[in-house]
Amino acid sequence: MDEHIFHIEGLTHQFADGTFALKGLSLTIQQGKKIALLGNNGAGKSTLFLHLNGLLQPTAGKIRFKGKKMKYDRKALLSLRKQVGIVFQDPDSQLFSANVQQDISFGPMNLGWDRITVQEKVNWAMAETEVTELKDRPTHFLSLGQKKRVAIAGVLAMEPDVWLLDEPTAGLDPYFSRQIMNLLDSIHHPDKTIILSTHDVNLAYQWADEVVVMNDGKVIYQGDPVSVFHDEDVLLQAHLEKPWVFEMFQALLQSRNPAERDLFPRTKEELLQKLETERIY
Amino acid sequence: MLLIDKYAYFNGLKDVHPLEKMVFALSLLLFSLTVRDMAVSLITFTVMSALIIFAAKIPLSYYLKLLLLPGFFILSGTITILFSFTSKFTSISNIWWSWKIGNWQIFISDDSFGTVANLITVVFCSISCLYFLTLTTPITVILSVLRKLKVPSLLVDLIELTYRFIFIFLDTALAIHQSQASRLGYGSFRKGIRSLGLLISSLFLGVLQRSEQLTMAMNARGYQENLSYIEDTYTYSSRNWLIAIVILGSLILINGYL
Repeated sequence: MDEHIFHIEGLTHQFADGTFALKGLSLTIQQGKKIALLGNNGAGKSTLFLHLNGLLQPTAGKIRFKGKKMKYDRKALLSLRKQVGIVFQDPDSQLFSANVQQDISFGPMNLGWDRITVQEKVNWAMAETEVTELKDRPTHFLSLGQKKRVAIAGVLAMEPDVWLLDEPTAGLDPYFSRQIMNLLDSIHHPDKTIILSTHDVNLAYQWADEVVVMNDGKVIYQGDPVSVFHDEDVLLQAHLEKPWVFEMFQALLQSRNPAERDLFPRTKEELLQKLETERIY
Repeated sequence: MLLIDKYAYFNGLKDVHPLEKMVFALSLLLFSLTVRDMAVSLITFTVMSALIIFAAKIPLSYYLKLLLLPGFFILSGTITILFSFTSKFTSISNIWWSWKIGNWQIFISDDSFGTVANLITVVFCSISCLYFLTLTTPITVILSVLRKLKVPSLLVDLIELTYRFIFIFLDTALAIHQSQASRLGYGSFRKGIRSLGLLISSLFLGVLQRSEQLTMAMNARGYQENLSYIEDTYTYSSRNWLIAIVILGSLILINGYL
């Protein structure tokens, strides 16, 4: 499928204090992709997310959602937000209801579903994120990791087509990071598009179909997750390091002919397999 | 974390239907406030305290601490009612205690003694009713009952957000205080005052920012006019209603006989 979910042209955002968060950013997001958004702090990743959910309006430029120019009236925004879900970086700014189950049911209730459907979706979302046993807990009793999972469950229960996740694994222990990534894998489907911002290059390298790198309010790279790490300029500009699997493989190849790009292993398992089968060392 | 809030979620009566607890506590409160009778107040206070300690299983020491707080207010408030001043030549009937200094005498009359005793019992009785409610029923549940009783949703939503923000406020304040203390912000009195000023100003900015983020997060999940959720389910128990009616009924009887 290559239907465009978002088509962004010359998007500029200026804050009230005069500083620019986005400077004429252009980007096309295709349906069904798993996209990792990388970039240094202050590159404008979070601001871009807010724009994609209609929470901010462009100072200049335009965004098309599924081919139509985005509108900012109530009805249009409601329909956009039905289809696009956003998980904020700081779960405290997202959770406001007093207890977990209530918070998760907030979105689905706003979608106007009947009570039984809402309850089913909420139960399912709680089971998927392993928060069922917390359902009667008030949100202020939760740990950061628990809050993060509840925040994700709150969006999961709305079943959006497009997911925007602002650093979903930051602050989580390895078990729950992996579990969140597994959850994203299980959500993933040709109709669903996932855009995830992260500082974790290993995660981006391993998980994404496509990598977008932002720097200073612009997109400086969009493409497959392997070639980006060959591009030293991009890495330097966006303060990115190479994923360890990638770096390891590159080091092993030094003594031999330059490798073809598509042969690069993406995970630890793939790397180990290559070591065994190809005897490159 | 506020302990009082924690007990509201984890206590022996948490599964009792909130409407039962509300009706029970509020009807006893109303009754004792209307009759303003010492015996009724004392009995209500005893019943409520017993329920808080034995049924809800709130530790006695914590409950006493909670009582101490309004205790200070009532003591400081009643002292002015208790003591009266007059010139030493005035003769007063039914005096209970008096002390002459110079041209003045300070005295406690039987009337003022009665008023104070009555006031203290009524106040403690009311407090015990309210503590019963707050210690056994979380705010969220009280709010859901209010929603069902068709209290304007704007008001209920406002209470809910205020409640949530209390904790964000506390957390933020604690975090700022810790970061200041770790960098010796409270090393001396002067520094302490300065740090406290900084804490308060950044707290307000921080909370403003939070509320902006919260608005965004709510909009992102399709917030329209009011907050709606799935309500928690509780079941009514005829036994609880019976207990409530018996207690209230016997209080009314006692009041009638006295």
